[in-house]
Amino acid sequence: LSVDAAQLELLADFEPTPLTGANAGLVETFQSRESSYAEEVERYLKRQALLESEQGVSKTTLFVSRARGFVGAYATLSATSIPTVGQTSTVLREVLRTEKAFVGAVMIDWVGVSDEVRRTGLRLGERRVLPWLKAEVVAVNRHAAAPLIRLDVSVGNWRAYRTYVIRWNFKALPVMARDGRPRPAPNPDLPAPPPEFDNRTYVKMFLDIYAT
Amino acid sequence: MSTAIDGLTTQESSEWLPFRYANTGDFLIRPLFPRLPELLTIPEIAGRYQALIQAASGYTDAELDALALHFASSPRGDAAARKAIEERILSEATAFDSPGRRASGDASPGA
Repeated sequence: LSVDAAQLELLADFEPTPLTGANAGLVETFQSRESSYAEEVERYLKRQALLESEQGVSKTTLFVSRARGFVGAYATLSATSIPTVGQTSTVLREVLRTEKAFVGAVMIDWVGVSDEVRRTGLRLGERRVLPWLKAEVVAVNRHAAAPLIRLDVSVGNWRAYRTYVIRWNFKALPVMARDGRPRPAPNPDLPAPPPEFDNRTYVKMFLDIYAT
Repeated sequence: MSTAIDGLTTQESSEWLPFRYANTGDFLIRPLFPRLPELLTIPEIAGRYQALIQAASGYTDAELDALALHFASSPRGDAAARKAIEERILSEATAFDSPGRRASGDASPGA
């Protein structure tokens, strides 16, 4: 982590805090409106996150500035699984040397950094949220195997896609193109999403904690 | 969603009902079916289940192929490598713990 002392202090100021009924008012301090995708991230936090956390459907963690009392980022997580069966089951199961039909994974349902923090260039998501998340997944794996972190992102959400591949080191799986055929995931070095993909198509991505 | 699959009762097949993932279009399937290993040795049943599971989970062959390639090159079988990776991940996360946080203990933020 190539951060200087001042940045480290700023990053450490953001405390991972589970969203509960007692601190739900904090979500009003989170603003993310730089694109329609960013607006969805804000809308979910303000309208659905607490309800889903209380129902046990997903769990949201806020990254709250101790010094200023606002939410700089949040992540909503749940559990999911990736099948090892299908037409390629022989290959995948042989590679894994298992009879299990699934590989466990932690799903990033939502992740967002506030406009204000993003504009500072602090890279709070990459430098604070992601290391926290990986450490949480390592802890889960002491007693329940879920070695992959899963994340989906729309092709149209190009800046986020590039961030997850280039900076977060997620691997993107092949994507179905407009012609109905799978293609290798888009090259994140391109300035815009390639035209052969529909912007609404989700790219499935994963991070293997044992391969980072 | 309760359509019986040939050779299985409705109850058995319903144990594999996929649960749609609200925000992502992904699916979670309850891996509770105790007879699966036995059934997957019967080609015609295995084929039906594989198709069902794959369709429900939304993963394409190309995606699963890419995962297989990834797993084939990962160091997951090497216990020492895994331990080193875990330690590195935990040390990166700990780097952001402020002195104040350590002093307060922070044993249970939600409590």
